[in-house]
Amino acid sequence: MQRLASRLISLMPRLTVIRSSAKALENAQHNLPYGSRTILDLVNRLTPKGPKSAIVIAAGPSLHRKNPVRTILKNRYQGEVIAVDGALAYCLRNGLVPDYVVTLDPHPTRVCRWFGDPELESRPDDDYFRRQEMDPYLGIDEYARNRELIDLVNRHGPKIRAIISTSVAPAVTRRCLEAGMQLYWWNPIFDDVEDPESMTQRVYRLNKVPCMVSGGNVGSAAWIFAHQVLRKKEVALVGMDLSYTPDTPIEKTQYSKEIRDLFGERATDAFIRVHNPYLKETWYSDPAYYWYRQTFLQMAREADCVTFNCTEGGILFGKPIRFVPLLEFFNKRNRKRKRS
Amino acid sequence: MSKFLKGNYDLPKRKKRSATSKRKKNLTDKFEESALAKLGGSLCFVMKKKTFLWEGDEGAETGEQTH
Repeated sequence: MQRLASRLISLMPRLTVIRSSAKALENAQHNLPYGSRTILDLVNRLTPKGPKSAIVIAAGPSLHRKNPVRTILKNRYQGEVIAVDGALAYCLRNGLVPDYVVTLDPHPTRVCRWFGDPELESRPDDDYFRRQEMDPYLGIDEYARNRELIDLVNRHGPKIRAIISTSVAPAVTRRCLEAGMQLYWWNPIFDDVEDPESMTQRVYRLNKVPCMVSGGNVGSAAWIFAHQVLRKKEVALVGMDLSYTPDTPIEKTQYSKEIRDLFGERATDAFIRVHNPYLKETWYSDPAYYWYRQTFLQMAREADCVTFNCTEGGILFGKPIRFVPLLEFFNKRNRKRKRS
Repeated sequence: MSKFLKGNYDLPKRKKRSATSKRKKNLTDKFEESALAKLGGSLCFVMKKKTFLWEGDEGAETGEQTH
């Protein structure tokens, strides 16, 4: 790994605090009027006969390469489906209405687009979605596709529970409500939760909403929600690449603009190449995503569930994660069911 | 041994770093950090022990408003 990349990874916790904490706190304050239910209301509803597994649909590039929704629908999966905000449009377009959608990022305008943004046409132009391949469908003819998405989310919203962090922009909150979703709130754990002066306890005292570790990104938060709140013993992940496909041009990566501005010709040194032995491919990541990967592996060792990474792409592998194709996850479950 | 290694000149005394240069460094660090912060993740987080979920404790003070 290049020295620049490893230095940036070591700085990630601090940089993330600077980047997002103030906004997250401000949003928590603005979201106060919208709350009533919290994720603990879901815990109280759990029944022993409920499904033991869940699938988390994250929004990495493998989602559009592998199309896991087709496999999920074909196998008539009976467990619960948790989509991250960035994967919601993909799911709905392909005929899968997730049980839950998780949202976390405090950005004031971008996150709203995942739900169809009614204000998009009056906002200043932002090429964020065009220059990336998170959901290529939304990056072309943006206004028309945004309007399509608004309709789609409005049609299915009442069947979806939003697992909404108090850190999100109020525009996201209003959009979820407008679409008829039920909101279940949570506070992200920002820092030492045992310290009465911590930011986490300050937010908790403000809103009395339970606090959950986020893992720094919405995909990790959705996985934590699956095993900690829904108490799933088996959690499968799809679209959880935490990296870019080997053939993605650097210009199409999430932080490319910022990395180029900061490091110019040294920009490529900020990226990390990881060989995936299961795929026999080398994917690459930027410091933020690599940091998510490392912390995910640490959290997985503490989690009370078996995690299957069925992304069939990316860099999230290593003990205790089982890196298997999605079909194998279904076959294993079917064999288990037949035996019992 | 030291008697054979005596020098014929005095080493200049090392100057202590002045408070201004320390302040300058702090400012540079801060500037650099805020520039680099664009590369940060969605949200900071910490996990202690096995605490994934924290539901508050009785000792926590009540807030100005409830959610």
